[in-house]
Amino acid sequence: MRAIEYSNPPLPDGINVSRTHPLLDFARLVAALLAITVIAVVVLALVAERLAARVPFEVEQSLAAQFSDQLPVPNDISRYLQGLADRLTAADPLPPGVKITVHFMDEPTVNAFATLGGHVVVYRGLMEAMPNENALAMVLAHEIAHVRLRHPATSMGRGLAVGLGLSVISAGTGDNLAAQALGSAGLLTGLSFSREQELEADEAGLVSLSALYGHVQGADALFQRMAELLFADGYRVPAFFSTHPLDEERIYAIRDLAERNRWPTQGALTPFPEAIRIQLPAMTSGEGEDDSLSADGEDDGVRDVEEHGLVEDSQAPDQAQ
Amino acid sequence: MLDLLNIILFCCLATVGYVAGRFAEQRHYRFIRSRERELADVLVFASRFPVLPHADKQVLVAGSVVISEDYFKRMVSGLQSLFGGRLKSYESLVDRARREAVLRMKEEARAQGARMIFNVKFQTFSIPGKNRNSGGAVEVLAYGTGLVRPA
Amino acid sequence: MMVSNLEIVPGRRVVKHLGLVQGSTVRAKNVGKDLLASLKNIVGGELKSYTELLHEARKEATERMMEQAQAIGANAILNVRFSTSSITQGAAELLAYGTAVVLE
Repeated sequence: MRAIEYSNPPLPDGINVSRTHPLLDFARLVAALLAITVIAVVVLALVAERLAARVPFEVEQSLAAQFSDQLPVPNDISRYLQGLADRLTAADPLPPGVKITVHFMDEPTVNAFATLGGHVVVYRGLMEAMPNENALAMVLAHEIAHVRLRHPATSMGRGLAVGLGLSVISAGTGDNLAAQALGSAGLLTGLSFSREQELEADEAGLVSLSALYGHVQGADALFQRMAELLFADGYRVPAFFSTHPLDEERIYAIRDLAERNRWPTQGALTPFPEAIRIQLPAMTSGEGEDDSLSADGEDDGVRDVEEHGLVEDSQAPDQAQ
Repeated sequence: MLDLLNIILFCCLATVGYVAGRFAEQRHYRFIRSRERELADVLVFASRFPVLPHADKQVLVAGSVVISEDYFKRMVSGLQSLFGGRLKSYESLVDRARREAVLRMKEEARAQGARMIFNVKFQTFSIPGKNRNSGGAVEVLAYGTGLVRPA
Repeated sequence: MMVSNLEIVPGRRVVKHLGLVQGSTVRAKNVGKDLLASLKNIVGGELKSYTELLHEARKEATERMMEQAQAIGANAILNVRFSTSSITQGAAELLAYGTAVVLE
């Protein structure tokens, strides 16, 4: 019997192992994934916005009714604000069925927002920071414009859709940290829509403002004031990461818009009514185009004015002017 | 802020995993190749019926190794599992483990005086990590029957 | 290249045994098929997408094994065995190994 040869010739490398460099492999995967995430976020956001804008206002209102017990009770100040809002909507009417309800929140935050169902909330801190009624009217007009353009509904719809999409992708990767990194990427692209919405609301708000007063100086005053406050705090968030565009950008946008529409940028500024100034002693006196700090020389919005608490029947609170 | 910290941590782990992992892998492969040259005279076959003129003593020999994945590999596999397809980062891991297991089996055979190993079989297990974030490992067992020529 | 599960080839003689050859591949499932599969979990039945995935993996592993056998000059692989194991969440390794031989 012929002997059978037994041997082990050496085997070549690289058959069971790939030769591509792992970093190249990784880079390709990441690029593909980022591309898909960005596209998915953009598409989902567009779809959600279109759909949400179709939701009737009554549905929004019934949704809002669920958290209406968290909103503050009406008082003198909120009635004054409502009156101002009503004057704005009288000058520049809303679509039928849309109603604005203004609330006043007694906290030092310098902010105002619009939410579902036409509810607008204004904080005491913001009111105290306003130089005159025109600036306050611009704030209200801006928030009313958000409601008019259905921004609360679309932004909520967009947020839900994007969150859903990202959680599907994150569940797929099966790795916590990677999932969180993906989540941040999605959030960054999602925020740019809000910036657009803010600029749109500025435009529509200007239209209302000029319809009421005949000029738009209040808007200019508002944004210069906000810029001042930001600088005073020493805290400047890079524009990309914040949902509101930087104030200089908005000032230029407003001046540009005013020029294009030929709205006067100078005009009579209305001071705040005496009754309101009594209730909010930290407010400015409101005369002139002065953007400086309030008459009593103190920093706005940061003071603790709890002892000057708002009561329905306020009787001669401590006047610190 | 928490998001930023998470991203930084993630990048650090991935970088460390990549650098250390690549280094360990290259070193291991060099080691494997040198030992393969050295143990080339111990022959391995998957056949079960050796036709040999001698009546040899039979010994069961086995070699096993557990190799852990690194963070970079795990991350790449997570990404790849979204798209499907070949998982190149793991192919080198199991290849290393298999070759190492065969080498250890050969070493045991040589220690027993066997020069041929027949009916070589493989078993691959995956040892999962404790939770989703901690690493897992791959174990490969190679076993066969070594034939020892009587003295 | 003949690939066989048998130990012998009836009617032909093995001239040389050239040792162990292996082919392996690690494949990941993809998230789309995963979702469909989890839906299928409700109704039961064959998971066609996974069957196809493993079929492709098996083909590739066998091809790699044949490539190794060809590189050392064999013309047949005998005593082929398969081994499957799950490597990490969502990935499986398929190993095919056998003895490369030269038939006369």
